[in-house]
Amino acid sequence: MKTRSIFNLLIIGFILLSCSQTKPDTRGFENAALVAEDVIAENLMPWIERLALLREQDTPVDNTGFEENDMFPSSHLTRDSAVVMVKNAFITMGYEPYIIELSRNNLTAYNVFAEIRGTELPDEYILVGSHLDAFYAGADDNGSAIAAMLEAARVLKNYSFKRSIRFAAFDLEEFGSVGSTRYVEAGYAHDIKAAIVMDMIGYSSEEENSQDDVMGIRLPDKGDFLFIAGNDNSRKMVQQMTALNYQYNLTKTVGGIAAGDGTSFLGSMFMRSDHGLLWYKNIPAVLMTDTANFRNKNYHKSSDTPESLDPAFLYRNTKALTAATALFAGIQLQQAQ
Amino acid sequence: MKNATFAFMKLVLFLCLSVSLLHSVENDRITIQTGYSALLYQHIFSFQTSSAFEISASKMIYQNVSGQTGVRIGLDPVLPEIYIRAGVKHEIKRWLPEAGLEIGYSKRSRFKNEKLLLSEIQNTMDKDIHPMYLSFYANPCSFKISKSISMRACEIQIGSHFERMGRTVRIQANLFSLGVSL
Repeated sequence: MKTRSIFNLLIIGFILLSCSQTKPDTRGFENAALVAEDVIAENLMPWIERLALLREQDTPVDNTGFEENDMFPSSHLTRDSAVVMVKNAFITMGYEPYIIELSRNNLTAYNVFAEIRGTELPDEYILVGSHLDAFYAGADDNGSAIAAMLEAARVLKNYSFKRSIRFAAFDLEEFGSVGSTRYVEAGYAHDIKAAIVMDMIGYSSEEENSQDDVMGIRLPDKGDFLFIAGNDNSRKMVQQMTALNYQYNLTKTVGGIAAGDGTSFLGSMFMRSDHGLLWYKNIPAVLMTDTANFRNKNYHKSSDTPESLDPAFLYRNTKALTAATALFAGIQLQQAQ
Repeated sequence: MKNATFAFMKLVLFLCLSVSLLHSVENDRITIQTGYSALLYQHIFSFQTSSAFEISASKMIYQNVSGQTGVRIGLDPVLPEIYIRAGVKHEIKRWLPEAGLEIGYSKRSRFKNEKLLLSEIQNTMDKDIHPMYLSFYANPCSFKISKSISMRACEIQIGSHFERMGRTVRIQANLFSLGVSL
């Protein structure tokens, strides 16, 4: 009888233990949030406006063989001017950017990279990614993420980190994550310890029912939050980012963790960007997004213009990106310069 | 995923136990079966249906535990799949319900991604699907026609490939098969 009681207690204890909430590790939050204060709101929209203007004059990518419809206007995809602009922006900030060209089937992807070398673990990289190709003006999709990445790169250049940081502007995401897929497949992602990928982070709405649910997942009615998607491998990243954003009032965040590695049928909706193959290869990665077409009615339309964005929302999300990158890279107290 | 796997295992255990409590099958002969099945494969962004002819041999191993081995030859494209299975079977008059697990080696997890959009990431993901799979099968519509002849219809099989189980879903319906006990 006594043995049975002890056994029952052990079972109950085990169940309670397995149900206990895991608190995120908050070490480094203060310093990360401090770095985010360096983000300048006025720096963001000019990148998006410049990109939109450049795209107007750019030659569209050859879309031979790709379908063409309202949701996928393949004949309006541009990238060449964005490649040049992003590369030059990195040079201006003092980086030494490089382009990796990956060709297949007469379609070349031009991925642009810039790096900050880590001091203690230089071979471990935190990847900050966003795609540079876009339909029409592509203000939200994906000028917003490019602007956030460039501003984060400007801020973070002034600090030193334990791990290295790699900023990546991936090409041809709209044709099915072509640039990032080739990059991972070619073996360049072997040194990535964690990745933050952004796809559309500049559109918000205060209106009721402005937010649709994503694949049956109930989201708040108002589309005024940043959605951070992760999987089992990046669960801690999502937890830390949401806690950091909440604790330091960086941006309103909703975190979602796909079941398992996120590659099941229902989870595949969360794989619709450049983090997709990272998830598949078990590299911890999160997606930052305003939920794209589940909120923004200008998705893949000529109306995706700078005027349709919410600059304050983009500013807050850029701060969240900067803080999270600083946190995962291991921000060191003293400034580099 | 762990919860789903746990629930799946509980279901298998429940079915096997419940069936094993019932009447044993009085047939120690080898049964040769042939039939036609339809297979639906899903893998992240990819989706594929195919059909196959199959031939198998089964025998009662112990009381009402049956063993079976067979081969399926897929149609369009013609790709093979071999399998072994162990299940619990019982006999109530002419009814021969069966449930169990199947392990197989399959070449049929090939996807035709006809659209260019997403094709590169699909192909990259699809090419490293493990050839071994595990599935649960249930055979509620199996009947003895005569002492030597039996028939099955609508056998349902749900499974996934080894190595990160759950990334692929294979749902197979054995539409019809005929068995002859030798």
